[in-house]
Amino acid sequence: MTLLVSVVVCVRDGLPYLGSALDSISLQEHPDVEVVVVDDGSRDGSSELLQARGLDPVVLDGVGTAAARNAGLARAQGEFVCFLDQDDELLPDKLSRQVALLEQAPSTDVVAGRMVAFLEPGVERPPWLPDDWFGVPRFGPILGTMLIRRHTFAAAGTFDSHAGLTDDLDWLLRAGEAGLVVSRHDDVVLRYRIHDRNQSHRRETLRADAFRVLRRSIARRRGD
Amino acid sequence: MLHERVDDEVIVIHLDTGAYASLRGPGADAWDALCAGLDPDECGTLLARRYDVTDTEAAEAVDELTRELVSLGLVAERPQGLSVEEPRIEIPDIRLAWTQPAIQVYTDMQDFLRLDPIHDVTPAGWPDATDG
Repeated sequence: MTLLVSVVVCVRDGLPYLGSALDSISLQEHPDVEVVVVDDGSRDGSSELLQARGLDPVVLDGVGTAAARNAGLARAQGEFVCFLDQDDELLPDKLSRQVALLEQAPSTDVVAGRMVAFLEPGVERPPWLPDDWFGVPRFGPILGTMLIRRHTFAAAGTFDSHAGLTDDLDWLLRAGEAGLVVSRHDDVVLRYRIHDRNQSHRRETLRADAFRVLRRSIARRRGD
Repeated sequence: MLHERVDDEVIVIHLDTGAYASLRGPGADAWDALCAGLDPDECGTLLARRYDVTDTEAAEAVDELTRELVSLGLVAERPQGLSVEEPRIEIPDIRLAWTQPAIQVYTDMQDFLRLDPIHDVTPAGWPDATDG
């Protein structure tokens, strides 16, 4: 009996990459996958694309990534959950590899593989990213690289809207504080697209949010 | 390396290792003073104006903190000739209670915060299959 994996995709104006993201889920070798889509107020035709693909999204209206992820999580039925951003792509063996790892290690709560960044053709390399950052497997606080046992959210909590652009890092920190076991593995599981509309271009906001969530995590651990 | 101060605390993120750290109170002030270019003795003199501590005791504490910061790769010897800035450290009317400057280092997010690519890859950029 295979275990159901829920892939949660939060969408807000996800064109033109949303189709590729959804295709990468369809190509998964793992046989038992449900796609949970949350449409957080798209106005660019993403809603129509989802409808054309027979998907029935949770429809929200600009609540933000963290709340959208939580809405997707609430609908998810799988034993395991993966969160895929609308502009990234899973490698075909991502889910099968990570399900196998979790089945082999019952005490592991989260597995995290590597990602490879690629530059969308026609897009200029952002000045803050060196040439040698692309094509090299690396870890990162990116939920798309992970597979999470769904029950762990009871211990770690869900995503926090106050964490801004770093709600994924914030959740990882809280998972660690809750004693969850996060194991890394070296397989590349995600293609991370760099284009001209990545949230990571908002460098100052990203930096401020990262410092805030780290500070809050430290304060919690100190018992402040 | 990135660092930020909010109120009484400095958070430092070491992007090469993925470790992050916290310094509070005298430790945060010592960090600001070192970043401005003061040497440990000068830091000690400045801290002794803000905290209820002697210059000598403060300088010794900063020296010890500096050695730890160097061992962590967070500070390095300042090249000769660089200008020294004025550290923004408020001098109160009544000196504050002194505590030994200390740094608390966290390594739980190392792999996720580290910016450098992994080193155990083949020239083609893929994980070396011969590794354990």
